[in-house]
Amino acid sequence: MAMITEARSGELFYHLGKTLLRVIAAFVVAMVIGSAVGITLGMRTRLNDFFDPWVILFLNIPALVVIVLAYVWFGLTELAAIGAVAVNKIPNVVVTLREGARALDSELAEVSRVYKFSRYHNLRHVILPQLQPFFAAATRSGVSLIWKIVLVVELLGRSNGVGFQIHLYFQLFDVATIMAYTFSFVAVMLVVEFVVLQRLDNVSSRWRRSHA
Amino acid sequence: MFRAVGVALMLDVSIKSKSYLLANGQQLEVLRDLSFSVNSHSFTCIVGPSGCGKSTTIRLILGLEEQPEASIKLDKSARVSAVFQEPRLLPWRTVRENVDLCLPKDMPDEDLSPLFEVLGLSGMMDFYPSELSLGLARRVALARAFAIKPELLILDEPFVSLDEQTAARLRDLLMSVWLARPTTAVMVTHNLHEAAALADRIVVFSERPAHVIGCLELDIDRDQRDHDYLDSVVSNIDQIVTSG
Repeated sequence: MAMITEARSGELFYHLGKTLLRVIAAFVVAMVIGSAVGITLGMRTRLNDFFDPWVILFLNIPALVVIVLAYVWFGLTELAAIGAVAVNKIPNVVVTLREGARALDSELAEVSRVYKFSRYHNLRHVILPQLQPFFAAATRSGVSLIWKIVLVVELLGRSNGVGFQIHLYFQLFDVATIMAYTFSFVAVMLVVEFVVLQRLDNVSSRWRRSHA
Repeated sequence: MFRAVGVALMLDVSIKSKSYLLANGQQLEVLRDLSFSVNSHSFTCIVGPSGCGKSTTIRLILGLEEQPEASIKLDKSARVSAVFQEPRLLPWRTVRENVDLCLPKDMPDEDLSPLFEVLGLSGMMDFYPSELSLGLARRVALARAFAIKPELLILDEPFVSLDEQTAARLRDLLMSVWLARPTTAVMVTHNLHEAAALADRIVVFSERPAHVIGCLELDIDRDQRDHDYLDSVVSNIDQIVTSG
């Protein structure tokens, strides 16, 4: 019922949209930076030895601390909000992609060297396909983690989004509307999983033998 | 070392020493004072006991191993291609893409279908490597190596772990492709009959640390090499090995 009322007034879609945009922005930033760092660390042992404690440190800083510090240092802005979420996610992506880069096939790397592949060719046709399962893992765990953190960010310092609405209805003790927002967003995530992620998976693993 | 006058030298290998660091901290010397050279447009086979460092030599030639005490004289701009012990195809790319990806950018577009035809791959251009048998995957590896028109073709036991029939068929294919697109080829093999059937010249390696203990020049046309001839070459190599 509460879901229908909120949907009718347009509030639901407005706030869902706002949250979704933040999730997408934070996700893109986290994936790009996280995979670049992760792949580099995975391929260079020395660099990894140096940065490994930093990765562990960032992995263990509570999300709340990052969010509060971001708001204190950069103000209650959209950029601070998205940045804080991304910083929370980046170490996870780094760790996942680092494992992927460590497991790269050296025999294929030699083929790429002998046949003088360009850097771009090497990345696109040799390295990235090998990392695809690791990207998929980082994406799955990433999207779910990010949307939870986005709600906290919205609750603490934004004036719209699902997190803001939940805060509002918490003060009114309106559990039904809180549930309405929660399930609406979970529904959005289910659609993302089944429409976008699974299709991408199917396309990128079509070369795997189906009867293996 | 013997070299016919007027024949261009393609590759000159001279390795003082090459060793590997083992997991237990010991050094394992695989090559010592090893040198040989390869004439342009010749087919050279390297034979020797297993584990003697044949593949290491190949890897040094390909630049996949670093060794300050090794001098590999090979024109830097020379186009080199390799067929490894395993086909080493990109599993996520089709047969066609696997070959196309290796073509240098500056190479003029050329119809590769005759090459695929000879290798019996015409109907399989859109297959993924997981859909091919080992023998077929090896043919794709050969196609890839010949497609770039290499000036130096390196083959590291390309027919190992195939049944004899398939290996013989692939050997014939290799010869027909090589005769159609002659290039300098260096092939490592432990199959002496294979070496005797294919090579212009056989270089024999010693036990580890390997050096060259003998060279055989085979100047009879390949199609005139009968069983007796092959057997005599093989016993010649055996002699070199026992006396070396």
